[in-house]
Amino acid sequence: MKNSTISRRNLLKLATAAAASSLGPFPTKADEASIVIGGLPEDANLDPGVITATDWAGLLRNIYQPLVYGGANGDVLPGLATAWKQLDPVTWEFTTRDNVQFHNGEKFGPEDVEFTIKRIVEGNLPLRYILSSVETATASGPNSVQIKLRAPAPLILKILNRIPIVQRASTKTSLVRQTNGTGPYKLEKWSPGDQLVLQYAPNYWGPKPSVKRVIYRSIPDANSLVAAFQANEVDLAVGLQPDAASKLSGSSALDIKAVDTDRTIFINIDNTAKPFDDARVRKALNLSLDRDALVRDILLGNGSPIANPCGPHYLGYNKSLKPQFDPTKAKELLKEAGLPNGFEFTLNAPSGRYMKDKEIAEAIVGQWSRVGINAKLVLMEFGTLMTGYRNHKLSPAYLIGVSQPDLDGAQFLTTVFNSAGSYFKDPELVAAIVEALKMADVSERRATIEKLNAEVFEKDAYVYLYLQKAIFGLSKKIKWTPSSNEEIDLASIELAS
Amino acid sequence: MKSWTFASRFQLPSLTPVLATLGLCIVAIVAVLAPALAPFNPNLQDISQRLLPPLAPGHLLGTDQLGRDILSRLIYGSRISLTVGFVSVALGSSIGTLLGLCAGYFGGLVDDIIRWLMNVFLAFPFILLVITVVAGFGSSAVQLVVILGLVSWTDYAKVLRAEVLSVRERDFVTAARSTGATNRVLMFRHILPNAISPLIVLGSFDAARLIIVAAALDFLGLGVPANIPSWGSMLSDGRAYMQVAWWLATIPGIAIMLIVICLNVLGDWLRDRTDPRSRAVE
Amino acid sequence: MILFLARRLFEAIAVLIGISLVVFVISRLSGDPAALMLPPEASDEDFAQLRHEMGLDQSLYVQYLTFASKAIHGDFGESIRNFVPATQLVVERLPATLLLACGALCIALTIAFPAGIVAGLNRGSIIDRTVMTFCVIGQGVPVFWSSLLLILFFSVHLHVLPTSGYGRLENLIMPASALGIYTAARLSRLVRSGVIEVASQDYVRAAHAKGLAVRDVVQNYVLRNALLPIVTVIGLDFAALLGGAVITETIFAWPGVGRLTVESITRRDFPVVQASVIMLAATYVVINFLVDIIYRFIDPRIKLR
Repeated sequence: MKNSTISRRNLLKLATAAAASSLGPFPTKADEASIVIGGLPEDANLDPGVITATDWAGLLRNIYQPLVYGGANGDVLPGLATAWKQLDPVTWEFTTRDNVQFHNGEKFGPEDVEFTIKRIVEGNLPLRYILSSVETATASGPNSVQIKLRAPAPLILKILNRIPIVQRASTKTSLVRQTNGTGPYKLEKWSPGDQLVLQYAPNYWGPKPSVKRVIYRSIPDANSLVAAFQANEVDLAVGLQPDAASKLSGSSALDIKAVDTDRTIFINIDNTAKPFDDARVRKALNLSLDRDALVRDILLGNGSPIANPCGPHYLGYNKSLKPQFDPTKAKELLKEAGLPNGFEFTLNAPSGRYMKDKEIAEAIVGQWSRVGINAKLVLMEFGTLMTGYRNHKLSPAYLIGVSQPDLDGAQFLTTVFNSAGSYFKDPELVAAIVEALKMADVSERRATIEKLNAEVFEKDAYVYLYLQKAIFGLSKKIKWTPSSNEEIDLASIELAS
Repeated sequence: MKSWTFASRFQLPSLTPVLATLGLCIVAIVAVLAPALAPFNPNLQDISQRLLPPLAPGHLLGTDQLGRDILSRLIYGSRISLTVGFVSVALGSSIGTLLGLCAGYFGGLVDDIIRWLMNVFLAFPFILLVITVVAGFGSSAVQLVVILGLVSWTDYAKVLRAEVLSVRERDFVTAARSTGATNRVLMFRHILPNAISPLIVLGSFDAARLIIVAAALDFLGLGVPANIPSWGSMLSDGRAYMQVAWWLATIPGIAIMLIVICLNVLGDWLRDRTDPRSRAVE
Repeated sequence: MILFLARRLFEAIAVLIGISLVVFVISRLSGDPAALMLPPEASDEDFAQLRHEMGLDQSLYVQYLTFASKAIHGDFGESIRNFVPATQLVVERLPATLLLACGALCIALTIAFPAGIVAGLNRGSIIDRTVMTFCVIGQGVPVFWSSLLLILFFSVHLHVLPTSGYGRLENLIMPASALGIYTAARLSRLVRSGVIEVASQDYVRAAHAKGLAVRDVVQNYVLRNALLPIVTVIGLDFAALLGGAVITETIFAWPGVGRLTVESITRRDFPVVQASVIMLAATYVVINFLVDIIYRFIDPRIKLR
């Protein structure tokens, strides 16, 4: 009778306190030899055969390793394979590395490679789109494995870079929440949605990394990430936005590093829609854009204007092509094409997917309006854009960003001009791209792709924009140089002092 | 019995509701006269003038990340916010009133079905329902208003139904029925007018809630992706600049807050006046 | 009594079926997860095949029946993106969501009761007006704004609390506060009006006339009777907090169900969206059901249909 209501309240408080104190012992601050990485988008599955999302796949590459690695200049480096040779147009043989153990102690051998490839190709795992040119793999000796292709695939070594090798006894469920790889790190513990902790695997065959323990914190909100970084809760902040980065770069306690990525941002156009069938109109679209201003004022320098579809690291990048800005000429061309007062159309763009995509789209619309091109901007969430992409709903123009992990210019051109989202119809161009894809000789391939890049530039087959940069924030605790593939190679991070 | 309550209430200076109504009227006028009042075109970009703080020459409230004048965007943005608030309330209240009336009046199976529908909508976590629909059907200003109206009808239906139930057996209704009035006449001409006051109260609170929900949608990137500025999208865009240019997010934030406060105060006052003992769930 | 329970149970089940229909239809119409899963260069045949594997090419009717028959057993299928069972994904986030909702409710109650009582008993005074002003402001501040300000102030400037995350009591304080303020504002007004109404009733004034101290009067009579509808609202608010803390969970990197749902909606991951919405709705229905029963027991004066 006395304090019934008050004790009810207290009861609730007590219950909460009890629950709170019973929470697991997850550290929010790292100790000396560990670092905290914040802002990496999280996924729910650690199976490398399932994960295609770049960021998460990059995390898994610290745990699992491929047969061969793709180097920065297009060269191929040994991974779990020490040597390789092509036996015939559709068969390659790889020599597997000795004295390698999986984290659970099992010895690595060619059967693991066979199992990995078969599991993807025959088991219908998401990675099978990458291995579409592979038929099967067979262990052919105590330390050799043969990979058989469906058809000659000049890029097979680059493709294998993306296939992490798993242990032969793995099942569909055994790799979801645990790991078992050959890489320098293994899973310590994971609280989904909150933190994932990796630790150095003592039986790793390669050089010992400087950082022994890495805590990945999932921080979906950009402001919260910046706040966490400023409060020294995070040593490596991933995916910072330009304005935050420029503010933080003034601080002496933090390091901001921006690196060119392999992702280009551009606008795809539909030349079956008037007036985009007129090459002069398309050229006007390109000439009226001041890309330097876009990069300088909106991205705050975190981009590079570019006149190729693909970036400089790709095979076939054409150095001689330079972005053009000439609004006067643009107006003349429009007049010539019979549109002295410009014209109207809809520009579709994603919002929240790429760095400052919304502001960039708005700025582009603003720049176009100065020459009379009145684009109505329709912004949409990325999922809606991708659905419209396949259903051809994004005509006549849409903004998109593309990066192609194999760093091959012909693959890139395929994505832009010969895939479900290609609205620019040009059968000869497509035929030439298909031809280039098949070429096995590197210099011939390179020269052909360079010519194709020049061709799409001259034809203004798309509106070229810029190459995106990725911005990382580093605390004074670590030293690291980001690479253009936007992955974080933990072994390359050094502890300062 | 309650002599002291009424007397003391009317001795309270009722300045606050007056201020609130005044505030809402001002916003309404600003929204209507936006083209005349705004110093700049809200979409006019001038990158050389980006991120100017308030009280910069020519830009009373500063400029945003693309150099657009914030005052002008605020003025034009009032249109979206008011439209969202009032049109979605109009839609939601119309649907809710109709369904609530039918449920209370006809009873039986009709009532069961309508109550079932209400419970289904109520059980859906509100914001998730809106997000699911918006993510699915995309968003334009019109669609957003329709969606918000569609998911908020339940409160009106509940209130209406309760009112109808309590009024249904009253004398004047029986009298009207005995003169041979049709159902429709009874519902709309006799019962509904008596149920209006809690509706208005509810509408006021609902408008406040929906304006916040619309802003929250913008935060999540699912709101109006406008060529026309909205306070919610200004707030959402300005988030990224909170530490660099606080005014981008703070100014629309204050605007939203003020209009919501005005609506809530008005709703409170209306409720106090029309039904001092009602404890309608907001 | 049995009839009452049976009827309520039937209604609860009907509501759950309704919800499953709504969420199923809406998520199906919302877009194609296959479009998001395939790389741009995948061919149209790949696309058609993937849709076939996912069962997306069957009629909506068939898809719903398949879905419903499994859902009854708690099987909502696997996440389209991750192949992890959707139920598992939701269930492992539930403790975090529950914790946040409880924390927010605690803060709300701790503020609302004293504030509401004091305001109600001193109606019209400065105290009352101040409390009401705070209530009004508390309901008007967008939660993402207040959250950000909290983080900037307490974490970045003062360094007394972590900016975000999960695992310790310090992590809970700010998100629970940001969420709790809104509920506190709502509840304060309810408590206040409840106090006002009951305080004016005869038996209270009689007790007062008998010479009992105000405090005793409040506790023994006023609160007891005003409590019923307040408890109802608390129950419903708690259920709403479970699913509605989406923004707070995102800003504070809190691994709750709301955040999972929004991320799944963005990725068009139907099974997870369906699983979490239905489970949250089921919680709401259950709470509603229990509140109804409690109501019936405690106050037999109220006849529920």
